Amino acid sequence: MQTYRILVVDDSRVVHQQMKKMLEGSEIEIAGFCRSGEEALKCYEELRPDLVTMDIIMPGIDGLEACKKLKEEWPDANIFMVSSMAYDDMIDSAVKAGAKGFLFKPFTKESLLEGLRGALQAVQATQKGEG
Amino acid sequence: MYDEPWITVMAQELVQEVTDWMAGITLTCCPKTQIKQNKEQMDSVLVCAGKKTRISVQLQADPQLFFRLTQKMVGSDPQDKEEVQEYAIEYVNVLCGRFISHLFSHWHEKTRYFFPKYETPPNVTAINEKSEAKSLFFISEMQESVIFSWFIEHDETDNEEE
Repeated sequence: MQTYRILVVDDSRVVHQQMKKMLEGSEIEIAGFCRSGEEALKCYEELRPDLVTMDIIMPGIDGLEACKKLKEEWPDANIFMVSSMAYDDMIDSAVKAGAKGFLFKPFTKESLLEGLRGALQAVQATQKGEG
Repeated sequence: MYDEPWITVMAQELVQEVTDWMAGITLTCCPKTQIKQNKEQMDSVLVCAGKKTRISVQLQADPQLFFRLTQKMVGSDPQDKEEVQEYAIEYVNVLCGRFISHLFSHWHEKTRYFFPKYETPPNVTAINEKSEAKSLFFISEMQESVIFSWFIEHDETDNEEE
């Protein structure tokens, strides 16, 4: 089974603990956890994960700004937004910032796995197409 | 526009659904007279959002409810009060995110969202004492009190653009 490495960016330890519990035993491994957009910009270079999950509301730069900056620095970064701010304007902003998908909080184990697997499959398909 | 009945109905449903979904705690809407604690006995999480239209949303609760919510979400007793505050903030963050999203989506307005703040007595912001504020009152299956309040104001002079 292929394993995927993700970087979780969320100021809340709660989300990290929930994701860790929900992804245990799956093909998706949490390679790193950052609590701010600024930290994510440093961690990404070191970890080069397959996917980044990004909260939107965080102290310091918000997730949309962090997504834009990550994409500027690493255009092949794959970012998946995770937020409770579930409205069209936010989703549009996320897509414009370069995000590949959006997952609404509160999420279940099923919706988390479905969302991440969908995003990772899309990434794989793009990479195969480019290869 | 800001005082429509659908907002109250949506708020009640969201509070009950999100609390049940995240922590398995049942909240029943009740009259104000059934709230056992007074504000000096309740902790609060406050969220602000908006640009032209600004909203303050507050969830006040018996601290025991936040403790029990953390216990249920973690699966064991909380390590310390900081952990309880962190879980309470995430719970209210999710609840208010949904509430505010519904409102600003309906109003077709952009919004800016500010980080939630945990407050303990006596330093609790008194949103529900503003005359235009709306409040809903709930009681849990363990008789813990919850007050969900919001206050909306509109600033026509704000011409800030994205």
